[in-house]
Amino acid sequence: MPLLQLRDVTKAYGGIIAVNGASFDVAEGEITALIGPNGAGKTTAFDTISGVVVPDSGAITFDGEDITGLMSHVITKHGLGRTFQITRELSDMTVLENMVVSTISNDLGSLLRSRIAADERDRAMELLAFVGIERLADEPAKSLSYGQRKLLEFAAVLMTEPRLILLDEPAGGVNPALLERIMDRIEEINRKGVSFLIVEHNMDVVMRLSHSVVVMAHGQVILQDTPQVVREDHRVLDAYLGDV
Amino acid sequence: MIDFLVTAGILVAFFVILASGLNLQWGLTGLANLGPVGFFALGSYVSGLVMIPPPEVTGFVTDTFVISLGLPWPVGLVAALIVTGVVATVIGWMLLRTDTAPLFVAVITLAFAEIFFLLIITQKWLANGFNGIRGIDRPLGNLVEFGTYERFFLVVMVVAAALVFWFVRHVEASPYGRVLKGIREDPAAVAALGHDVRRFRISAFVLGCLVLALAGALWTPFVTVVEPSAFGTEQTFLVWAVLIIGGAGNAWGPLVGGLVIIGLIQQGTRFLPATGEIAELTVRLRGVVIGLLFILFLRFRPKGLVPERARRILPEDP
Repeated sequence: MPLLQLRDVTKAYGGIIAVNGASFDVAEGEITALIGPNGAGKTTAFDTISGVVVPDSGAITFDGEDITGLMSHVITKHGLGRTFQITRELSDMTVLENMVVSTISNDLGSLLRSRIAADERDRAMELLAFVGIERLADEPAKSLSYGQRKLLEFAAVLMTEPRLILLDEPAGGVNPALLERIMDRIEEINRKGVSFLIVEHNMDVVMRLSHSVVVMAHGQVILQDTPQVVREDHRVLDAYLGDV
Repeated sequence: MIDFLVTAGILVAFFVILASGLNLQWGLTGLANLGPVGFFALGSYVSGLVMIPPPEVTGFVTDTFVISLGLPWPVGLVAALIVTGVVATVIGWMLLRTDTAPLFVAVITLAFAEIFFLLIITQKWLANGFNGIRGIDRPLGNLVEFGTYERFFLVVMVVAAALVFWFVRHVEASPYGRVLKGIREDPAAVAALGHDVRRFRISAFVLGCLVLALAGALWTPFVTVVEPSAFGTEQTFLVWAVLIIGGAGNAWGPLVGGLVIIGLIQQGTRFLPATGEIAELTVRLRGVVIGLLFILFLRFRPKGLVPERARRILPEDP
């Protein structure tokens, strides 16, 4: 059974149907890419999965459990982490603070403690080293470059120990050297068994990383197959050229 | 001179507590409470009603109170905190959601303060309307020699302000405070990291209101009178001025803001040589100066005299 399943998910904003009966799967252990022209409904699909918006109809299951319409933080606790298209780091806080925010407990016990546990700090530093920005740990997040913020956001999601990570345009606006590092780290985490669902416009990235590609256009899923098949399918080209 | 310093010190400590309460809400969590005076008044009224003896004892026989228990100050203080805690929890629970816009928080809290004020002045049976609660006994009033009571009270206020300062510093540095700051900067991102934003917002709102109510309950026995005219909107403005000019988001801000705005400008200007018309002008100009400073700070130094800094994380001792 797939790790994540969307069945007939629909979300409309007023008269605009952003996602219209979308169904697709993310298999456990795989990297699935979600592509499509601007306005295809990719980000809205992401938002329904991660609980930022509640779908009007349809069902979303994660590891066999129905997670449709649950609140964001509950979905994260299920083991599903996400990043945002425009990075949403906590800019006035340090890089390390951004990292450890997720490990803090939700009860008032966190008010009584005065420091962060040493092992949590170590794990945060380890992950910062993994993405290569550990020397920036005590800098405010707002001083980071855009690409570094993408890395920070990725590392911060890893702190929540997710089983599935949703990345919204990890390659967007990132320079080639940093892009290589981001792709490399995604593959390494994937080898450890973590699944990915990635929205991406850069086809080189999609072709290199993904095991499966979902193509959306006008809020609907028009195809889900291997990258090789998708590349040859005329419907995909049509969708991008606005001829569907 | 000494008397003046004592009074000024009491007022400074008082505003440090109020601004610290607002700091928990606005400075750390980004909740724009525009009705701090409402929660301050609530604390003041509840403690006053618990402490006031029945009208036939005080001698003001026409006064009417919903309750008049004549209990000691500590009971009034605890009652004020409990009632404010309940009221703040209900307001927070209704108002604060993961995606509540700051403007809504501002409007609703402002409305709360206004409603409370109107309730007090129109419903005389509650707390004697315009005339307020008169004849509250000063705690330990018979022990402390007449005339030195202000000095005794200064010590009480400074100790209370120090405790509140320590508490805000602790919250600021605690993991809990880190989540609050995260929520202030991006609620959706913090929710995506697995935090119940609503719960954190409500608890921070309640904590802030409790500190505001504490100030109210401390104020009651000092002035011995709780009357509506003490809780005008200008108090809300002063608390905000102290917090913003001092620096929101760190515990030192309200302390520095209190010393500068209340100590130096509001109280210090009493030393200006002034008689007759000029004296009256000084009183009015005080508000103008504080208002002007407020605007200038918002425009040119929005982080205040003591700007918040990103904190380095120290490891927990093993």
